[in-house]
Amino acid sequence: MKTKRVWTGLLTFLFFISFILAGLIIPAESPAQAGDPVAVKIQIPFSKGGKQGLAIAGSEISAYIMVENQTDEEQNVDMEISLPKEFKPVDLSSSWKMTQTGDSYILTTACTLAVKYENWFDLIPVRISSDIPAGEYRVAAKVKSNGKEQKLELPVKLATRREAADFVKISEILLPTDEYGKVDPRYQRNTLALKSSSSSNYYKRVITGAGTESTAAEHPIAHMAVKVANKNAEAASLLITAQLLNPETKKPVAGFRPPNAENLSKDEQDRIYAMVKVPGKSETLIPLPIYGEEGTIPTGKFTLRTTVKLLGSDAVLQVKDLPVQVVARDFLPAVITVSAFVLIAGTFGIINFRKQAFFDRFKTRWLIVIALFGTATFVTVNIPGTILWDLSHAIFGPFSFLITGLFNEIILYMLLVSLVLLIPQPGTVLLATVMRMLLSGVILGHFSPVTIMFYSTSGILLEVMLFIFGITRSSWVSRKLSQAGRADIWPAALVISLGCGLADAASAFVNFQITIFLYRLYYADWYILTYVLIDGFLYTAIGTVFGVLLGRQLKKVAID
Amino acid sequence: MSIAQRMIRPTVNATFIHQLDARVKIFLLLATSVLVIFLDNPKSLLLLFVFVSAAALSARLPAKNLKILAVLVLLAVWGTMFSQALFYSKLPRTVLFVIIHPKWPVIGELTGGLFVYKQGFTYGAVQALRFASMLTLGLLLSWTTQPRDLLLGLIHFKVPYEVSFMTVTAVRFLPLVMNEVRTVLTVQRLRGYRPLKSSNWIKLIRTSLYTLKPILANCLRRAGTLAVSAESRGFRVNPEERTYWRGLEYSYMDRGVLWGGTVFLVGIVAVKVVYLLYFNGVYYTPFLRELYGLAKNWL
Repeated sequence: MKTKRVWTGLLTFLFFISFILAGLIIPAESPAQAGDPVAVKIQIPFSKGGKQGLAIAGSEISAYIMVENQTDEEQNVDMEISLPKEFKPVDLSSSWKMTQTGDSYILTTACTLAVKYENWFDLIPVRISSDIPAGEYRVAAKVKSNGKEQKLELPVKLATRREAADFVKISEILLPTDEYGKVDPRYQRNTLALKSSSSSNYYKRVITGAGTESTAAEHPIAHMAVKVANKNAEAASLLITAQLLNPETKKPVAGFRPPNAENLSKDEQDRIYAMVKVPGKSETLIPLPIYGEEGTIPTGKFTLRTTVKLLGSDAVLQVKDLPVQVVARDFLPAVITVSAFVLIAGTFGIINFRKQAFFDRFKTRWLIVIALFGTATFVTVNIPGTILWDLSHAIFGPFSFLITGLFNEIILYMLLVSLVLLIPQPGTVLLATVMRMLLSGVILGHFSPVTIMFYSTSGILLEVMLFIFGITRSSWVSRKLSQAGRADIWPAALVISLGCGLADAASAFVNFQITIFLYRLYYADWYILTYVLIDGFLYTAIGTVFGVLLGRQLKKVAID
Repeated sequence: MSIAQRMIRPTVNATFIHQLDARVKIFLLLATSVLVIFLDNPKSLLLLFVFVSAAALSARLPAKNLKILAVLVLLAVWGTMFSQALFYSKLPRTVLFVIIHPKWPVIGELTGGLFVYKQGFTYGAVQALRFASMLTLGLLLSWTTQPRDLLLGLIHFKVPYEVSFMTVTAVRFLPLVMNEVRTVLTVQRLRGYRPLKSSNWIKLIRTSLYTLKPILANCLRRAGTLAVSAESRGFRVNPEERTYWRGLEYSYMDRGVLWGGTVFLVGIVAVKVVYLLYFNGVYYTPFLRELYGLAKNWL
């Protein structure tokens, strides 16, 4: 049984080896006619799939010439190509020589093909006159190799630009589609969603096993499809390009470019393209990958310009513009908002669960002090803030925080820190913040999930920082602040300033992200940074120092 | 009456808005705040603002209150338009003028230039409708509801008793503290305190310190008396079984508004969530195409 299995395996192996060897030994079918030492291939204009294409009057086309050695001997090839006088070669390479006779251009060149299947090819740019009538023109070629001559005559079908445009039409542009050009109704029509290249996205891809390569740079963010109808009886080789343009300036948008664009010529870096052959009397769906990266392509409304050219020709058959919207899914504000929500819900959930224990730590007198400080804060910060902030915002715009922060942040932190010095308990700041929030809601009607999140985040972060930096627990900082003389409190005052500054800077950043996510507002990164550093950190730290002085003075008014 | 006093003092009237239960008003305010987050369409945001403004007008508020409201709304709208005109990052955008040229040394390089964009004004105006609706409804709530009713409403929403007591205390002492602030500021002005004319901000902060000190010292002294008074009347003795002298009761009108508002809010949020799932490619069913269209064109 075992021997039979070994023999079967051996025979299968031998069969495959024989098959592979046969494929290597038996020669491939030559495009040349039997007996020709070299195979000659000429396409005017150059077309996909090697079939004869259509040329357009007044355009520049590429003539493709290829010769291939079909023998085991060295072949010295001389070529002569005769073009009608309306087909003028331009930018010829140095290997060609051109002479002009009465009604044609004669191009000659020579090459040596040393071994079998060695080939030589070239693309010759040819400018066709614009005043030439449509019809069929003939290009003649003579190829001599080792004394044997081949003569070819090639018909070039010429159409006017209007005729060609009538033949080939874009019937529809679909976006986004799958890679086969099929519309996925799950996605918004004419909308491109940019993928984030942030580090969170990197880790998400690692976790989901999607690989760590740059998604945006190497993989399409979406696909589009161009439906092209060809009314002509013959197939049309086309070059389809798509560009994302600024709708006002009509200039290409940066970041919308194929991978490895740096290897392409400058004109081709800002567009995606596909070379296709559309069979005659048919309609073909041509899918195109779209590349783009968040951070490079701005979001907004753009024009997606799709251009159809005949392959090997600069003649534009049709240009179709489609208004598209580019949306970015920036996850940072969403993640921060959700995290802030979880933090708030968790904190208040725990406090509610241990409500009695939480409030039992506060004497009735302390609760009233916090309430009255809440009133004082509301009167000195919230009410003027409501009026002055809006007024200042209207005059100074987003930079009003430089002025209002002097009052808002400094006075607020003077009050909060003095309160903490009077009642150095965990929960004091949170209760004071809840007071401010409720007063603002009851008196000014500022009840909304956003304001609740603003106040709560600020209160929780400050509470955490005060505990970490040793102000609301037994530590050298709290001892210095309560017992040391005025000259000795500065190190402790600096520590508490740092703690409050960091807490307020963090809450300012979180508040920006909440506003960006929930109210869809835009802020420049440098602006957020400036605000966080000056209003969040600096003003708060200054207010905290004054708060320490105020708190120590108030301690003289008896409270226990 | 000063602007601040007018802002915090509720009005008494017999309009539909005044007669609504405080809990219903709080619910409507919260529902609207959720709605403004979920709405994106300028038409819907404008419609909401028009509706809220109509409600404010129907409350027959004093002309001075309406003037304050109008000024605050205009300032908020303009402020948002201003900031968005500077930071608008979508395309197309047309530069109206340059504030900081990108080629300016240091500041130009740091900021990458600061421009005023035409499209940012429009975008800011649309987004400001959210703030305008919330501001109008918030002030309408506070001007048509007695604070004690709002506090009873909050207790109904399970706000801890101690916090409710603190809020009542804070609200009760609000006029007193405002008067104290005014007195102290008058005294400071007599001593040459001109906050808006001073350019020395350290001096300004020091003066603020001296202003706050007597106000807070009074708060501390008052707290002692109040604490004794509250504890002698059984405060915190049995917080779980407290009874209230005055309660809130829903009328048929309140129930109607509450149910109508809930159905409307849940409907809008559900349609928007379904649309967002579709928009982000998470879930799609052809059965809901009509809803997708509704959300795209209106929400």
